[in-house]
Amino acid sequence: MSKGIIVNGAFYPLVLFPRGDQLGGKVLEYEGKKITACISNTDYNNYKDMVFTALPGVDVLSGTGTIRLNWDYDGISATQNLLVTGQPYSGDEATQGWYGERCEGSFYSYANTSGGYLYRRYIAIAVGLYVDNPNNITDVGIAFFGNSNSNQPESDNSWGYLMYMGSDSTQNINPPADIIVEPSDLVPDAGGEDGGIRDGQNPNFDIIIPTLPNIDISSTGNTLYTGTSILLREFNNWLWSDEFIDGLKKLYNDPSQAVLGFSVVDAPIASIGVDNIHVGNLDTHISANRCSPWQEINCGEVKLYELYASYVDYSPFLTAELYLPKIGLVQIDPDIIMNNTLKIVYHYELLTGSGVCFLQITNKRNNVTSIYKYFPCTVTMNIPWSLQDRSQQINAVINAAASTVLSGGSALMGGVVDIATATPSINVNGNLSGASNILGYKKPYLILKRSHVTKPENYKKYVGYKYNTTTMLKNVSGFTVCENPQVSFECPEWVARKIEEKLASGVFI
Amino acid sequence: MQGGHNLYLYRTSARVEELNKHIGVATRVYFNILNNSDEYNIDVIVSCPDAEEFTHDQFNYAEIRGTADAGAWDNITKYYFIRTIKSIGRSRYILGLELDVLMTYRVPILASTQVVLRTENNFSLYYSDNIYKSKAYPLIQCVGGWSGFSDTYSYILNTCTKGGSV
Repeated sequence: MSKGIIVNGAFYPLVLFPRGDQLGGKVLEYEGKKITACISNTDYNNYKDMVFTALPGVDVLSGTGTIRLNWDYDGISATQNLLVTGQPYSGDEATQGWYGERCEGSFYSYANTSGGYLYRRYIAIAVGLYVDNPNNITDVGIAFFGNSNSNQPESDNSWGYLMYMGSDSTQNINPPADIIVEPSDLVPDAGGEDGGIRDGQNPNFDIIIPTLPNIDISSTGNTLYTGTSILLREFNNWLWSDEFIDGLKKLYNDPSQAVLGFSVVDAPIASIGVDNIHVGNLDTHISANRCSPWQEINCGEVKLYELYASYVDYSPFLTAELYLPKIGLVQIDPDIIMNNTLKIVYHYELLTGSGVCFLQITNKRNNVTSIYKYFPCTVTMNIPWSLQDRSQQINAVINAAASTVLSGGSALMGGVVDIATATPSINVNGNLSGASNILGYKKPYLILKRSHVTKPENYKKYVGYKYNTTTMLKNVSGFTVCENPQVSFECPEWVARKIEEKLASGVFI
Repeated sequence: MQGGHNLYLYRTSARVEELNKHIGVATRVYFNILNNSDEYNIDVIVSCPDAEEFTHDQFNYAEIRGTADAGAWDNITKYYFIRTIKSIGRSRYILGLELDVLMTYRVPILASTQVVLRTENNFSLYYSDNIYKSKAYPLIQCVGGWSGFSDTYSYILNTCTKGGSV
């Protein structure tokens, strides 16, 4: 039974830092996830010891045993549970060109010498410690990668040393599954001059979700009110009231024309003012919140993490379906969303209930944000409404009034008789529509179908993983396979052939 | 017989394909190359000092020291696998040696530039590869965390009014 961590898909056996037992109870918040076993601001000496142990020579480099430690922004940070508090940031570090945003969880050390600052790059990655398989996490903590070279150039990604700080695996921690591996491509291909490598800047013009339109529709006479079902009940009662009848003479041919619709939406609607509901020229004396027709539902953003931190986190080993409320399940390109942040926002208007759903993706590796998909949708559900159609009565009243004016009071009696014999009917306007908009699940979610993959233990050690880089062999280590190796140094011909055969089939460096 | 060149014998468990083999502590013996022996994969007669006890199957690796780790064949230190051992009596043996080209030329090999296809410690797992085997059943995951619509229902009334008020 071996204990280890997976970083960038590679298995590393762990040696727990001996001071790990002093770290219990501390919490590191990393990208919204709380990870235990982080040291606090009172454990600086412990931390320093660990850095010295993980990165042999740092203390020698400093000369005084003093190192400066600074975070990259956007890295691991939690004001209440600092991973490290070293000496105050002096500002000199900024001149080194290293300080600032670079990648998540990276930071650098600065060692003060008489000649100025030296630096040594290293990376801290929040990792999970598992036993036997990645699903069996027994601990989480911080893994350190360092480079043995001081003044290491930025292009040098030959990380070597590894140290792990955990909690001695005694706390029965159950972190979220998606922090088994913190994806990090530590060894990007530097490429070469032979083509296949991009030249210049990667276009990264951000296309972000627009703001709601600022369109004033008040001149059309449309007025939107919002409230609870009580509001609708009050309004419906008013429609059936004598007050409504009394006011009809101020209405047009069909009073229902002034009520443009009822609908319901499963979201709070912000008020932009309080006013009495008006229908045409009539004041219903029912107070209600007025609202804008333009509404937004910001569902927030979720970062999608790789599981294996390798090519099998992408197609064709992964398919993705995104459920969007009001829309349903839609196919999503897993290569686009993996390892990136998905933001979902709905914009809709209340006059017709139509809207659009934006899926915005922030690509971590390419540092670009864009709207990836638009989905048209209908957000509201229309509700049928009714009123008592007493148009015959109304017409009789109007006719009677006219007769009274024209022929005196005798006509009034006839009008009353007409009213008494008129039969009211019920009008129902509209149909219940868009009920599925209300009945469906109300929050987005993503279904991932992955290949359930395995590989034998020590595969890396005996077979190796792809590197695909032209380099001097002294820059690599462990089992190494070369493609079409060339021997160009002085040696007998048969020796050259034999060396080429061995490099092609794999050697241990 | 005590004469000829020095041959250093080792017992090592290093892997055959390892460039920098850890070969342990040397035992020095004397050797002469057999007549008509291949220059690169040589057969040598070794003899031990009479006072030393020599067990012929004790070693599996040999070194003939030169003056340099790289350069001309005549000058470099050469390393050999011991392939065969034949006792010919009186503390004398014939060893069949095969040149370890990796160890012998490790310095220029490490200094050579190659297209490295696979490595153990420098790699990117984001290249398509065949290191995994898929099981028949998939791994289904459901990712949530977004907010969205709610069970708070807002009723909307749309009326036509004189002049409107929106």
